[in-house]
Amino acid sequence: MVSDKTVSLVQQVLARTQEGKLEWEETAQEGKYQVSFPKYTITISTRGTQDPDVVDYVLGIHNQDGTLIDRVTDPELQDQVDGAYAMMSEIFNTARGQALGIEQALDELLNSLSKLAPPAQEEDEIPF
Amino acid sequence: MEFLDSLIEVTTISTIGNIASVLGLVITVAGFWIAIRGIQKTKQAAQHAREAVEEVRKDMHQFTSISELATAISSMEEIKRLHRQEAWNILPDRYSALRKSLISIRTAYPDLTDSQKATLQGAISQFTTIEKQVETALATDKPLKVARLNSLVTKEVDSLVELLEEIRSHIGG
Repeated sequence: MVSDKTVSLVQQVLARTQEGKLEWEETAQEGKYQVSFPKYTITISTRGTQDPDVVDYVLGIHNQDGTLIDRVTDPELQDQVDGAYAMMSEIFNTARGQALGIEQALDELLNSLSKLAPPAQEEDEIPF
Repeated sequence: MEFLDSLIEVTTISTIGNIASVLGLVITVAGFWIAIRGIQKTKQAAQHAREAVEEVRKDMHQFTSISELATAISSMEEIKRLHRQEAWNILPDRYSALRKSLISIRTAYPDLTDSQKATLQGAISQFTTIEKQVETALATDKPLKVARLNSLVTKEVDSLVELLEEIRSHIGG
Protein backbone atom coordinates (compact mmCIF):
# COMPACT_ATOMS: atom_id res chain seq x y z
CA MET A 1 0.00 0.00 0.00
CA VAL A 2 1.45 3.33 -1.06
CA SER A 3 1.18 6.19 1.42
CA ASP A 4 -0.91 9.28 0.68
CA LYS A 5 2.25 11.37 0.83
CA THR A 6 3.86 9.29 -1.89
CA VAL A 7 0.74 9.58 -4.05
CA SER A 8 0.77 13.33 -3.54
CA LEU A 9 4.48 13.43 -4.38
CA VAL A 10 3.94 11.64 -7.69
CA GLN A 11 1.07 13.99 -8.58
CA GLN A 12 3.18 17.04 -7.74
CA VAL A 13 6.12 15.71 -9.77
CA LEU A 14 3.79 15.27 -12.74
CA ALA A 15 2.34 18.76 -12.41
CA ARG A 16 5.71 20.50 -12.02
CA THR A 17 7.19 18.47 -14.89
CA GLN A 18 4.34 19.44 -17.22
CA GLU A 19 4.82 23.08 -16.20
CA GLY A 20 8.51 22.82 -17.16
CA LYS A 21 9.61 23.77 -13.66
CA LEU A 22 11.80 20.73 -13.05
CA GLU A 23 15.23 20.39 -14.65
CA TRP A 24 15.40 16.73 -15.60
CA GLU A 25 18.76 15.40 -16.73
CA GLU A 26 20.15 12.15 -18.11
CA THR A 27 21.99 9.73 -15.87
CA ALA A 28 24.67 7.13 -16.54
CA GLN A 29 21.92 4.49 -16.68
CA GLU A 30 20.26 4.73 -20.06
CA GLY A 31 16.55 5.37 -19.81
CA LYS A 32 16.86 6.81 -16.29
CA TYR A 33 16.46 10.53 -15.62
CA GLN A 34 16.94 12.56 -12.50
CA VAL A 35 15.94 15.89 -11.01
CA SER A 36 17.70 17.19 -7.93
CA PHE A 37 16.61 19.23 -4.93
CA PRO A 38 18.75 20.60 -2.09
CA LYS A 39 18.74 17.34 -0.13
CA TYR A 40 17.14 14.69 -2.38
CA THR A 41 17.05 13.46 -5.94
CA ILE A 42 14.05 12.00 -7.76
CA THR A 43 14.61 9.56 -10.60
CA ILE A 44 12.22 8.11 -13.19
CA SER A 45 12.98 4.98 -15.18
CA THR A 46 11.41 1.88 -16.64
CA ARG A 47 11.79 -1.81 -15.89
CA GLY A 48 10.79 -4.79 -17.97
CA THR A 49 7.82 -7.02 -17.21
CA GLN A 50 6.87 -10.54 -18.24
CA ASP A 51 5.20 -9.03 -21.29
CA PRO A 52 8.01 -7.77 -23.55
CA ASP A 53 5.73 -5.06 -24.94
CA VAL A 54 4.94 -3.62 -21.53
CA VAL A 55 7.15 -1.76 -19.08
CA ASP A 56 6.63 -0.61 -15.52
CA TYR A 57 7.57 2.95 -14.59
CA VAL A 58 9.63 3.42 -11.46
CA LEU A 59 9.95 6.67 -9.52
CA GLY A 60 12.82 6.65 -7.01
CA ILE A 61 13.80 8.95 -4.14
CA HIS A 62 17.51 9.25 -3.28
CA ASN A 63 18.95 10.86 -0.15
CA GLN A 64 21.91 13.19 0.35
CA ASP A 65 24.40 10.35 -0.12
CA GLY A 66 22.76 9.29 -3.38
CA THR A 67 21.31 6.17 -1.75
CA LEU A 68 17.87 5.01 -2.92
CA ILE A 69 15.56 5.35 0.08
CA ASP A 70 12.15 4.76 -1.50
CA ARG A 71 10.57 3.96 -4.80
CA VAL A 72 7.13 3.49 -6.28
CA THR A 73 5.95 1.82 -9.46
CA ASP A 74 2.78 2.37 -11.46
CA PRO A 75 1.34 -1.07 -10.56
CA GLU A 76 1.73 -0.14 -6.87
CA LEU A 77 -0.10 3.14 -7.46
CA GLN A 78 -2.97 1.64 -9.44
CA ASP A 79 -5.10 0.77 -6.40
CA GLN A 80 -5.11 4.34 -5.20
CA VAL A 81 -4.76 6.43 -8.30
CA ASP A 82 -6.83 6.18 -11.47
CA GLY A 83 -4.63 6.33 -14.52
CA ALA A 84 -1.44 5.63 -12.58
CA TYR A 85 0.23 4.12 -15.63
CA ALA A 86 -0.62 7.13 -17.80
CA MET A 87 0.60 9.49 -15.05
CA MET A 88 3.98 7.80 -14.64
CA SER A 89 4.33 7.40 -18.40
CA GLU A 90 3.73 11.13 -18.81
CA ILE A 91 6.40 11.92 -16.19
CA PHE A 92 8.86 9.61 -17.90
CA ASN A 93 8.25 10.85 -21.45
CA THR A 94 8.26 14.53 -20.49
CA ALA A 95 11.39 14.08 -18.34
CA ARG A 96 13.08 12.27 -21.21
CA GLY A 97 12.13 14.99 -23.66
CA GLN A 98 13.52 17.70 -21.41
CA ALA A 99 16.69 15.80 -20.51
CA LEU A 100 17.49 15.04 -24.12
CA GLY A 101 16.51 18.50 -25.30
CA ILE A 102 13.88 17.07 -27.65
CA GLU A 103 11.39 19.89 -27.18
CA GLN A 104 14.05 22.53 -27.78
CA ALA A 105 15.28 20.67 -30.86
CA LEU A 106 11.75 20.45 -32.26
CA ASP A 107 11.12 24.15 -31.62
CA GLU A 108 14.32 25.21 -33.33
CA LEU A 109 13.79 22.88 -36.27
CA LEU A 110 10.22 24.08 -36.74
CA ASN A 111 11.48 27.66 -36.62
CA SER A 112 14.15 26.94 -39.23
CA LEU A 113 11.75 25.07 -41.49
CA SER A 114 9.14 27.79 -41.31
CA LYS A 115 11.75 30.30 -42.53
CA LEU A 116 12.45 28.07 -45.55
CA ALA A 117 8.77 27.75 -46.47
CA PRO A 118 7.72 29.75 -49.58
CA PRO A 119 5.78 32.92 -48.81
CA ALA A 120 2.03 32.38 -48.90
CA GLN A 121 0.39 33.75 -52.09
CA GLU A 122 -2.29 36.39 -51.64
CA GLU A 123 -5.74 35.07 -52.62
CA ASP A 124 -6.47 37.85 -55.12
CA GLU A 125 -2.99 37.76 -56.69
CA ILE A 126 -3.21 37.22 -60.40
CA PRO A 127 -0.60 34.63 -61.44
CA PHE A 128 -0.23 35.99 -64.97
CA MET B 1 19.85 97.15 60.18
CA GLU B 2 22.31 94.53 61.23
CA PHE B 3 19.58 92.01 60.82
CA LEU B 4 18.92 93.22 57.33
CA ASP B 5 22.60 93.06 56.46
CA SER B 6 22.72 89.55 57.79
CA LEU B 7 19.65 88.64 55.85
CA ILE B 8 21.11 90.02 52.63
CA GLU B 9 24.38 88.21 53.31
CA VAL B 10 22.63 84.91 53.97
CA THR B 11 20.43 85.35 50.94
CA THR B 12 23.43 86.13 48.74
CA ILE B 13 25.37 83.14 50.04
CA SER B 14 22.29 80.98 49.65
CA THR B 15 21.77 82.20 46.10
CA ILE B 16 25.39 81.57 45.23
CA GLY B 17 25.02 78.15 46.76
CA ASN B 18 21.89 77.46 44.77
CA ILE B 19 23.50 78.64 41.60
CA ALA B 20 26.51 76.45 42.36
CA SER B 21 24.21 73.49 43.02
CA VAL B 22 22.35 74.01 39.77
CA LEU B 23 25.61 74.40 37.90
CA GLY B 24 26.89 71.27 39.58
CA LEU B 25 23.74 69.42 38.54
CA VAL B 26 24.05 70.64 34.99
CA ILE B 27 27.69 69.59 34.83
CA THR B 28 26.85 66.19 36.32
CA VAL B 29 24.02 65.63 33.84
CA ALA B 30 26.27 66.74 30.99
CA GLY B 31 28.94 64.40 32.24
CA PHE B 32 26.49 61.51 32.35
CA TRP B 33 25.31 62.31 28.84
CA ILE B 34 28.87 62.41 27.52
CA ALA B 35 29.64 59.13 29.29
CA ILE B 36 26.51 57.47 27.90
CA ARG B 37 27.32 58.72 24.37
CA GLY B 38 30.82 57.36 24.80
CA ILE B 39 29.49 53.99 25.86
CA GLN B 40 27.07 53.93 22.91
CA LYS B 41 29.87 54.73 20.48
CA THR B 42 32.05 52.05 22.01
CA LYS B 43 29.18 49.59 21.72
CA GLN B 44 28.61 50.55 18.08
CA ALA B 45 32.32 50.20 17.34
CA ALA B 46 32.34 46.77 18.97
CA GLN B 47 29.28 45.77 16.93
CA HIS B 48 30.95 47.01 13.71
CA ALA B 49 34.09 45.09 14.62
CA ARG B 50 32.03 41.94 15.22
CA GLU B 51 30.29 42.38 11.87
CA ALA B 52 33.63 42.93 10.12
CA VAL B 53 35.04 39.78 11.72
CA GLU B 54 31.92 37.84 10.65
CA GLU B 55 32.35 39.11 7.06
CA VAL B 56 35.99 38.04 7.07
CA ARG B 57 35.00 34.64 8.49
CA LYS B 58 32.39 34.24 5.73
CA ASP B 59 34.88 35.28 3.06
CA MET B 60 37.42 32.76 4.38
CA HIS B 61 34.71 30.12 4.40
CA GLN B 62 33.88 30.95 0.80
CA PHE B 63 37.57 30.78 -0.14
CA THR B 64 37.73 27.32 1.42
CA SER B 65 34.62 26.22 -0.48
CA ILE B 66 36.06 27.55 -3.74
CA SER B 67 39.28 25.65 -3.08
CA GLU B 68 37.38 22.43 -2.34
CA LEU B 69 35.16 22.87 -5.38
CA ALA B 70 38.22 23.44 -7.57
CA THR B 71 39.69 20.21 -6.20
CA ALA B 72 36.44 18.36 -6.93
CA ILE B 73 36.45 19.70 -10.51
CA SER B 74 40.06 18.49 -10.94
CA SER B 75 39.00 15.07 -9.65
CA MET B 76 36.24 14.95 -12.26
CA GLU B 77 38.72 15.78 -15.03
CA GLU B 78 40.98 13.01 -13.72
CA ILE B 79 38.00 10.63 -13.76
CA LYS B 80 37.40 11.48 -17.44
CA ARG B 81 41.05 10.63 -18.21
CA LEU B 82 40.72 7.32 -16.37
CA HIS B 83 37.51 6.60 -18.34
CA ARG B 84 39.44 7.08 -21.59
CA GLN B 85 42.14 4.76 -20.29
CA GLU B 86 39.38 2.30 -19.25
CA ALA B 87 40.97 2.02 -15.81
CA TRP B 88 37.71 0.64 -14.44
CA ASN B 89 39.25 -1.18 -11.48
CA ILE B 90 40.46 1.97 -9.76
CA LEU B 91 37.52 4.20 -10.69
CA PRO B 92 34.97 3.14 -8.00
CA ASP B 93 37.32 4.46 -5.30
CA ARG B 94 37.63 7.75 -7.19
CA TYR B 95 33.87 8.10 -7.50
CA SER B 96 33.43 7.38 -3.81
CA ALA B 97 36.09 9.92 -2.77
CA LEU B 98 34.55 12.55 -5.04
CA ARG B 99 31.07 11.99 -3.64
CA LYS B 100 32.37 12.35 -0.09
CA SER B 101 34.12 15.55 -1.07
CA LEU B 102 30.91 16.99 -2.54
CA ILE B 103 28.90 15.95 0.51
CA SER B 104 31.49 17.62 2.71
CA ILE B 105 31.31 20.87 0.73
CA ARG B 106 27.54 20.95 1.00
CA THR B 107 27.65 20.33 4.75
CA ALA B 108 30.49 22.73 5.50
CA TYR B 109 29.03 25.68 3.64
CA PRO B 110 25.49 26.30 4.97
CA ASP B 111 25.15 29.64 3.11
CA LEU B 112 24.66 27.91 -0.24
CA THR B 113 21.34 28.71 -1.92
CA ASP B 114 18.82 25.92 -2.55
CA SER B 115 19.74 26.00 -6.23
CA GLN B 116 23.44 25.59 -5.42
CA LYS B 117 22.69 22.73 -3.00
CA ALA B 118 20.61 21.08 -5.73
CA THR B 119 23.58 21.34 -8.11
CA LEU B 120 25.79 19.50 -5.61
CA GLN B 121 23.03 16.96 -4.93
CA GLY B 122 22.73 16.34 -8.68
CA ALA B 123 26.46 15.67 -8.97
CA ILE B 124 26.39 13.33 -5.95
CA SER B 125 23.51 11.34 -7.45
CA GLN B 126 25.14 11.27 -10.86
CA PHE B 127 28.39 9.79 -9.54
CA THR B 128 26.45 7.31 -7.40
CA THR B 129 24.79 6.04 -10.58
CA ILE B 130 28.09 6.02 -12.51
CA GLU B 131 29.73 4.05 -9.70
CA LYS B 132 26.91 1.47 -9.79
CA GLN B 133 27.19 1.18 -13.57
CA VAL B 134 30.94 0.59 -13.41
CA GLU B 135 30.64 -1.89 -10.51
CA THR B 136 27.96 -3.82 -12.45
CA ALA B 137 30.08 -3.78 -15.61
CA LEU B 138 33.10 -5.06 -13.67
CA ALA B 139 31.02 -7.87 -12.15
CA THR B 140 29.35 -8.88 -15.43
CA ASP B 141 32.17 -8.01 -17.82
CA LYS B 142 29.78 -5.73 -19.68
CA PRO B 143 31.34 -2.99 -21.85
CA LEU B 144 30.88 0.64 -20.84
CA LYS B 145 30.32 3.62 -23.12
CA VAL B 146 33.20 5.98 -22.36
CA ALA B 147 31.88 8.82 -24.53
CA ARG B 148 28.52 8.78 -22.78
CA LEU B 149 30.04 8.66 -19.30
CA ASN B 150 32.42 11.50 -20.10
CA SER B 151 29.60 13.56 -21.58
CA LEU B 152 27.73 13.25 -18.26
CA VAL B 153 30.86 14.07 -16.24
CA THR B 154 31.48 17.13 -18.44
CA LYS B 155 27.97 18.40 -17.64
CA GLU B 156 28.68 18.07 -13.94
CA VAL B 157 32.03 19.85 -14.38
CA ASP B 158 30.24 22.72 -16.13
CA SER B 159 27.66 22.93 -13.33
CA LEU B 160 30.32 23.03 -10.64
CA VAL B 161 32.37 25.65 -12.51
CA GLU B 162 29.25 27.81 -12.62
CA LEU B 163 28.71 27.24 -8.90
CA LEU B 164 32.32 28.14 -8.17
CA GLU B 165 31.98 31.42 -10.10
CA GLU B 166 28.77 32.27 -8.23
CA ILE B 167 30.50 31.79 -4.88
CA ARG B 168 33.59 33.70 -6.03
CA SER B 169 31.46 36.66 -7.11
CA HIS B 170 30.02 36.93 -3.59
CA ILE B 171 33.37 37.21 -1.82
CA GLY B 172 33.89 40.62 -0.26
CA GLY B 173 30.35 41.71 -0.98
